[in-house]
Amino acid sequence: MKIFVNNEEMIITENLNVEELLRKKGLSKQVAVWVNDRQLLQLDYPKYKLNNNDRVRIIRPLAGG
Amino acid sequence: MNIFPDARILDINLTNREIATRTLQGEVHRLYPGGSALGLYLILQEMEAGIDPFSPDNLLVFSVSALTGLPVSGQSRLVVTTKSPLTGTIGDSQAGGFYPVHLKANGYEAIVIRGKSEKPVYLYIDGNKVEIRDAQNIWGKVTGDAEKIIREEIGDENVEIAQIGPGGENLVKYACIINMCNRANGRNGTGAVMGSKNLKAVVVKKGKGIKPYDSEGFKKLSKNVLERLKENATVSGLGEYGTDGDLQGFSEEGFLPTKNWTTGYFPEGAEEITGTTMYETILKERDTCYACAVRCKRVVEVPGVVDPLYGGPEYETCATFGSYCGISSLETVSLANQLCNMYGLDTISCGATIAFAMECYEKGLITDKETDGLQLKFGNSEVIAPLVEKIAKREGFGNLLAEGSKRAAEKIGSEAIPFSISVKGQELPAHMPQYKPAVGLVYAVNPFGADHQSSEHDPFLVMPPDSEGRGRLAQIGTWKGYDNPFVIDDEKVRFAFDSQCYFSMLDTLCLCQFVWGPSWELYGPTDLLDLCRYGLGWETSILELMRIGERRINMMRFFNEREGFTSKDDILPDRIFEPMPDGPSKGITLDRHKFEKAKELYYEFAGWDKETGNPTEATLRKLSLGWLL
Repeated sequence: MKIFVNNEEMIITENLNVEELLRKKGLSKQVAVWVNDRQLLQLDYPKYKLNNNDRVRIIRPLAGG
Repeated sequence: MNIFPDARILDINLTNREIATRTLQGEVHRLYPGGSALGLYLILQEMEAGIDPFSPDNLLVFSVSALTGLPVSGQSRLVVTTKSPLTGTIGDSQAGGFYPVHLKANGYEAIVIRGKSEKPVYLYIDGNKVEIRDAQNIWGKVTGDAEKIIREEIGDENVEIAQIGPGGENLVKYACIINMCNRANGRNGTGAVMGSKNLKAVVVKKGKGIKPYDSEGFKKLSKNVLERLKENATVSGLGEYGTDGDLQGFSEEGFLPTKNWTTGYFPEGAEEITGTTMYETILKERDTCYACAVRCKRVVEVPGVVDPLYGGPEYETCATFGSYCGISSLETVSLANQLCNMYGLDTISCGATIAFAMECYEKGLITDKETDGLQLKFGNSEVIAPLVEKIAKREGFGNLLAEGSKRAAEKIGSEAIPFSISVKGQELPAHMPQYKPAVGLVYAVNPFGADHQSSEHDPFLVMPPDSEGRGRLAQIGTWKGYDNPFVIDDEKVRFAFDSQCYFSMLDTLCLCQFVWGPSWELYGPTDLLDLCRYGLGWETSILELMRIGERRINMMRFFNEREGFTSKDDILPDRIFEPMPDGPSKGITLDRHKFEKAKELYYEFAGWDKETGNPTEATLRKLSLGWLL
């Protein structure tokens, strides 16, 4: 299945949810996620199953210090 | 409920060598419960306006807080308050480590240092025994050497030392105060004020922390800290990779200040100097502060080059000596960090001033003739170490750079002025206002110059509303989320002001922002109420705490107003309003008109005069500061 993550094409398995996608990308759930321009709640990360051609935007807030 | 404790203040006159103590009653201490709020309360009681920062009449105040010493992460911070020689405003700088707890263990919340010693001295504090000791044999020594000699002289390893290096002795305008040889009261040149008093060090005998008022209740905060860390990927990431962990991320977004802020993109070097690279190559160990589980401090080693005694570079240092200068060598950055800790120089202002000089050189405003033959091209690692030494010793070209980029630019000529990326003379830290406009607003209005640790950062507002961070921010009035950080609207101004008050309160209570900040950090606002309740028996509220923060900011603005500062000084460099030129952030712009409107609204939120930017009488009275009028 093909999705787009931050405008880059990515091939994933069927039934992958957002939390699993984040894990695949080495990210924790402390990121913001939009799918097809709609921001997900954090509690939806393990529930939302990705679909073919979904456009996913992930922002990881950067701190520094 | 407990009554709020009194504050015990040690007063040292270096001119006539008089030593005294006094007490600030708990009822009043509660309004100024530590940090630079307490420092300013003491300073504004007696210091006249218009004093030269290097005059004996400039007071130098070391302070901790009523909470310092409690057995919990993130409460060991030392604040130094004085008139800044770099900015001419009130000066404020903070450091962590173990020193703050041991200062408090000697029975003092604050030390006021006045006058000037005829010859170099250091202070030794062992409870009620306070000595002014000769320091002529350590004057001129770097921090590591001085520390060894002091310990031998006292004959006791159980001391902590806050000292200046040759940078402070030579009155470098951004000289700092170093403890443990690797923790810095970094900004605003507080080390130069100490040097102007011929004061080399303040040594404290180690002692014990304080017991919580309610030990059982306190366990709510201390018992489960490792679980909290495990649940908080941002803070545990900070522990693993340090503050530098996000450096490459900033460049990938196009917002890592690079080559003196001419771009935000550093693809040729970001990966070389980021926190994961440090972790994989030169990191020797992770260090921490008193009782803190986060362990975000770096200790690095490059055999024969970089000594682990001097710790390791933070994000700011990796940016200012790295990307700001176009340098992609972690060894160079780490050596620069070491030299700054040895000589006692603020790594942000030092690296940024060198980057300024590099741009002047690249554009032909200065040549080899002025730079003592050093080729100050961006990316030239070889010039960094010699330049830092020249600055610390005020030798040759270093003498000009020791004044900071603003004064150096004024000397070089009008064409150089736009290359000084500073506010009120203090160089900008490595967070771009184009990416973080609320941070940019606070850079402009902050009383002591551009500071990235005076408010929460915009990107955390993109998190979903059910995230813990957004929930915590809502507790202090920030309800709105954003799809991207770049927006500046009314609610962003509210976020800037309210988070600034919160951070100001944290700086008053001498709490570490990474642990006690109002968003992504380890503990939130509700936990802070528990800290006060179970730690001190202090039944407080978010309202009282935010007012404490607001009071500190207003005292600072009042101090500055007496010195002639107005809204005309609350400006960002012109370069910040140019569109990002290239890379992933190309075209993104901080709109100047929107920014100015935001600043006007900020003044209104703050209760300040829209024209002058200074606190109104009503605002001062609201904050129980009528005594200033």
